[in-house]
Amino acid sequence: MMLHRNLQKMIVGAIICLVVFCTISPSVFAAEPHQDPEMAEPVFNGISLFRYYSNSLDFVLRKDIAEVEARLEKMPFANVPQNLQEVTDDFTASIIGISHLVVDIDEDLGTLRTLMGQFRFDEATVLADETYSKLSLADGELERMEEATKTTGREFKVPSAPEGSDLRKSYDEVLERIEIIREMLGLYRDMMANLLLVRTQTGEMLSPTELSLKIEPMVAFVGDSIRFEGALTSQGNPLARREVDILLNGSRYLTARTRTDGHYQGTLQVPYWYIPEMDLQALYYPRDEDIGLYIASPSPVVKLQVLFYEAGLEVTVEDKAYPGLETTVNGKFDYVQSPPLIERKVEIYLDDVFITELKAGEEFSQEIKLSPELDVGKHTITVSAVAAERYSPVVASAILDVTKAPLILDINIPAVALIPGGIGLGGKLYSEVGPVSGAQIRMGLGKSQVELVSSEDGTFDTEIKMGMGFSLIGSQDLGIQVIPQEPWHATLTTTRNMVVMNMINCGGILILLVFLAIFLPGRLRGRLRMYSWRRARPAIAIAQPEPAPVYSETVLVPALPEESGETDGEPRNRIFYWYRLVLRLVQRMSRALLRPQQTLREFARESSQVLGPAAKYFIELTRMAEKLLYSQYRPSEGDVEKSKQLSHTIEEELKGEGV
Amino acid sequence: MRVSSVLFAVVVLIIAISLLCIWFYPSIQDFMASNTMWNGIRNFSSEFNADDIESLGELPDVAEETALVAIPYLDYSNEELSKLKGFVEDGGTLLLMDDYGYGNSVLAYLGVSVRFTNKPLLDPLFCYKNQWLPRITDLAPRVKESGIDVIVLNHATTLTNVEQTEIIAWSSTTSFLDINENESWDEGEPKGPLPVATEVRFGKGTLALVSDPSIMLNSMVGRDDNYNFIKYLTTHKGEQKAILVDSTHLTKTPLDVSKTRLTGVREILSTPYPLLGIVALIFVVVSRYTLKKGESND
Repeated sequence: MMLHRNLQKMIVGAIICLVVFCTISPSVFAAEPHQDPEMAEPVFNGISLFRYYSNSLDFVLRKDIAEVEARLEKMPFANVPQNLQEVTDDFTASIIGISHLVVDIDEDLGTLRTLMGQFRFDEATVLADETYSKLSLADGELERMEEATKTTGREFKVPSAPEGSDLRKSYDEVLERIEIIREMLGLYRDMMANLLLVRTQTGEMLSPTELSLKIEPMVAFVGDSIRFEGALTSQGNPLARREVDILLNGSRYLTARTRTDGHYQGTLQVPYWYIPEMDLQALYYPRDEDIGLYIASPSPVVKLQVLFYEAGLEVTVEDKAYPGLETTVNGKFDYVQSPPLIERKVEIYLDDVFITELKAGEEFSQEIKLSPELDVGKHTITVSAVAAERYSPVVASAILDVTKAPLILDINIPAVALIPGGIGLGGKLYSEVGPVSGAQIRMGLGKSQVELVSSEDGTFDTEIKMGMGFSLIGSQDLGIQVIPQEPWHATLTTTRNMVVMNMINCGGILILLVFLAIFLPGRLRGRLRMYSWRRARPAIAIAQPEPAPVYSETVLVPALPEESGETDGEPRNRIFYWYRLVLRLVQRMSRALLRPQQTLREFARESSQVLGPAAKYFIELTRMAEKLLYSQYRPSEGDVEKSKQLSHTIEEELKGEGV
Repeated sequence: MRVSSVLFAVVVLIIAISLLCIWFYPSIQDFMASNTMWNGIRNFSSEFNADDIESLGELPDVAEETALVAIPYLDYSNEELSKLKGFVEDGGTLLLMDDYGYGNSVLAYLGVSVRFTNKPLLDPLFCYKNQWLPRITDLAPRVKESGIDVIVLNHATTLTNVEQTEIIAWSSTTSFLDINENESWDEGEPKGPLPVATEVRFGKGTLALVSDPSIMLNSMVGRDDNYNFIKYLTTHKGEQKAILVDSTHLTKTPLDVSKTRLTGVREILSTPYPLLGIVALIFVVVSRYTLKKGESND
């Protein structure tokens, strides 16, 4: 037993090992084209980091701010050690900062050169001061970058790297670039100093000039004209026939000429700049013969308050729009207290692409056709009302939800489809937009398929042919695919359930069942009878007087010995003869049979309810029969006589009962 | 008990245990939808409602609404290639993701000039943990507009012969193609930026090429913007396409093959006639057993 158990355990264990081995082994040995990122070993590369830094510094030297920013905005995705994150961020911030400063300083130098060329020493001095500040800031950024580089170098163990190694070279390249930028800043300083030197050398030989400016009115609408006037003098003497530039917000707008008394005047149309305030300034700088005689002078800045009309614009669009169909854009101007414009030009854009323009009043409504290729999703409709004289431009946007109309399919499916044969399918296709005409419809049931096109009003009618197949009866999915021809309709893929009955197969099965129902019971009965007979046979052996069996309640069918004549044979057989006679009689009367699991005594007790007075005699006779069956008792002639007597008594009693 | 009965019982036990193991033991093979481990694609399949197909014959008739993900680790037959071509020409999206497989056979059959270089792309600086996991931040404007800033690859390769206008993702300037596979840059090896993803119009459909299928893995699909990138590639005109994964060209372990066959057998057995046969067989066996037992009791 123990051996068997061990054997079973070994077999089960071996099977499990085999299955596990078969499933795991190929993956263990195969080459992997990927690795588990969670388990991946972090490897940091200082050479790449330093080279990236030095390349970025090259773009600083090329004054390409956009490229520097584009490169460094990727730094958060760089693989650098955690403890270097802050240093890397500092370096990144500094390099972006210095790239801006270098460009600013370079531009300032150009402006300074122009100012000095126009002998505008005062402005040049102010600008120079600002530029020096920027140079100081740039020096600070360079120091921070140098420090960050050195810290990063220590982390990557650059000091211990061999001379000429890639790591050492890349590290040195960064420091070299920083040094080059430092030298460039030094050059800027020298250039500024040289420019300012002109002032020192010539400033005392030149005469200063004074320039005044007045405007009237101080408040004006855009497009209106204002008057300006002023005077140009040098040490109290008017400067005649000199050109004076009128600057608007720092840019030259027009030029006036001084009269013989040094005065100048004119009118200026306020440009259509829809800003609330403009700075006006007059500027004189020496030209032609004046060069080398006078110093330039700007007038004080005069503020002009600018007036214009503003309007609000509210844009609304439909809740849903469909590709290839028109949609309506509505707009409404709100002029508040300004006089409303009767008509103004309005431009409509879809995702910044010009669509159409129109002349609009206070309210407008415009239909625009959407491209059939337009992606579904959110799109922006922008309405721009261009400026119109005193009216400032106004822009408003609305979100347009472009979608495809879902198809609705009403299909008539038979309650039960009988196959083989054709199944009629009809229905209608429509959507919230309208009927779906010309749509390609594909329907499939099992292996059968049908293709058709919907009519003008979206209806369709077809028949799907189903062959013999192996199915019997049951629900089957009818797959339906609809491909609309209009771009505003979404495709539809759906299934409908239908009961399909295969008449041939079901008929065959039915015939088989009927056949079985007719012939199987007879066969089974015969089989069971034989089975009962076979069970009864061994009981004969039990009935043998010897060896005497021990009485048991579990003995199911105490069978009686073979029938024989009353007078011949042993007393035992004669007693059984009389018992059998009575038993038949009792069975007939009680309409009860002696069941296989019933003992004779149980049967006698059960039958006694209907036997009346004969019951006690039948029980007595039964006991006698059982005594003979289950013991070694040898009956005497007296017992035979008694059984005969009992039999007759029972018969008589039962006759009285009408049996 | 007779020896034959013992043997019969053992065989039945073996078969039952084997079937249960095959059915319930999860796959550990790469790109298997039933694999929940780091190298499976269970997350991808459930997130995108992707279905596996066991044959290209299962491709739908309406190709426009479908994106087929192909990871060609096994070669395609001419018949299969023809089906793939027909699928894309009819308006389907073929998302061909390959690193060291048979992607170039597909591209050659389709007649497009783009090729997978089949050499490792390494990026020592812009990467996740190490240079084998390069991070891609140079993306076409239309990709960036979809909210994708960075994707991370895993043992990727690159594309070559790609039209500049069709490239949608490039590796960084610090990346390189490790042609001699010594894991460091050498003179003559191409340096970044190198194309790693492209979209090409083909017939009525789209051919999307990504030089690394690993972005679909359970351990990768949720990293950075990989999920959105796959979504972008399988979306057309703002509509997410139904995704099918071609599992016929993936390398499979005996367990995966057995799982596939077992599923097939189960499907066959669930049809009416085999079911009827099984019921009849059970009836016969039980009846016979009962009768025999009855006889032996007597």
